[in-house]
Amino acid sequence: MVLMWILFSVFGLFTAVRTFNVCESQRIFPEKYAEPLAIFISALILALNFFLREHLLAQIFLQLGLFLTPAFLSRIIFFRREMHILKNFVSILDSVVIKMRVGASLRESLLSTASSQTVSTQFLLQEFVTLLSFDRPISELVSHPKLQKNFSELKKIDQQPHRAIERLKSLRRRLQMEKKLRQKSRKALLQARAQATILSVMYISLLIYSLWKYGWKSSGSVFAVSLMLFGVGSLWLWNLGRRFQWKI
Amino acid sequence: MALEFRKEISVENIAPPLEMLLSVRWSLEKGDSVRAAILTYIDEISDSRWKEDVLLWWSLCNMRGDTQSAHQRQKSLYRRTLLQTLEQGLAGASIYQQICQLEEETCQACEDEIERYSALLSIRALIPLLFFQFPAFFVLLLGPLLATVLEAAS
Repeated sequence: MVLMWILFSVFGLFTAVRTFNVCESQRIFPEKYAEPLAIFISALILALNFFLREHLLAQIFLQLGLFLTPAFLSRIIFFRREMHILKNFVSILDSVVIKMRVGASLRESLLSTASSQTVSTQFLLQEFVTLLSFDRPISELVSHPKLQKNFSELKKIDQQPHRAIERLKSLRRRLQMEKKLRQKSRKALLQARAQATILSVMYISLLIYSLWKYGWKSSGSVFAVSLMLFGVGSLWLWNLGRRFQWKI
Repeated sequence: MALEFRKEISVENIAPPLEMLLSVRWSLEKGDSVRAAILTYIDEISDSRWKEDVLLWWSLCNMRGDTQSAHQRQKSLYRRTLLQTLEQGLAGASIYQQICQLEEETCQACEDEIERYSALLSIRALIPLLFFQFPAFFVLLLGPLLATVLEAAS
């Protein structure tokens, strides 16, 4: 039993180090926090292993969770990073254009812009510059089609820098216009969706209270009818705007 | 594919002619020809009725056939004008200024349509509220109570 515990503790420490290394390579946290965070995580794992010495099953689940964390984490972080940079692409282009106007090259401007961005944007921009240097495909860096398109345009500008600023400004203008129109139409739907969300919260609270008060057995059919009605109404509200056809 | 198509018809998307105008203008500003600009747009367009129309029009243009039938398929004046302008460009005329002006007009039309839609949306949102969600609340509030009362009475 003790031997098993020691084995699992050592395995846990290894998986924690592995998870930490993955987080560090993905630059999930700023570099300056790496050392204190590594010490904290190791201490935490040691303490948890010590307190769970009587509960081998809980210890196994903890190690398993730690072991599987990088796979989930990298997917979530990857998605969040893409969404974040997509949202801020226009402001990034603004910054790049300004830096290019004062004489910097595209790569220099991108690196300089990266330094003033959040950790996730910084990571993607720096990786993009590396990708430009080694002429690797964009799909290695990002998977979102829109982001791929934007980055491939930047790559083209890097490879053929003729009228680079004008092309960047043209890309910026296009993205800005798309963003503006999307925001306008999204605003129209926001009210209906907010209404649906608030009503859902109220309904679920009331349903839980009613179930607690009367129980499912005595009024099961009433609850079922109510749930069905509410479900149809909510679906209707959430789907408003989805069947829209542009007339122009 | 089905999800993509759902996205295509959502109000949150840009109107197809405006999308095409933005793409063509962008390509022209990069220094591409009108033909290359149209091909770039066709490459990036997602499956929809508009794509079918554009492909039909493009094949007619390539065969030097009568594109009138492709124009007549378009109910929108903006779409027809866009296709006609692009044809002029394919014939060798300079269309950049026309594309810019058409883009402005189309953008304004899009904004107007969004405004009209949002004005109607608040009324449309009332229908599920009145006919489904309020009754659901009433049933949930009064149903068990009535069931208890009826049970006690019987």
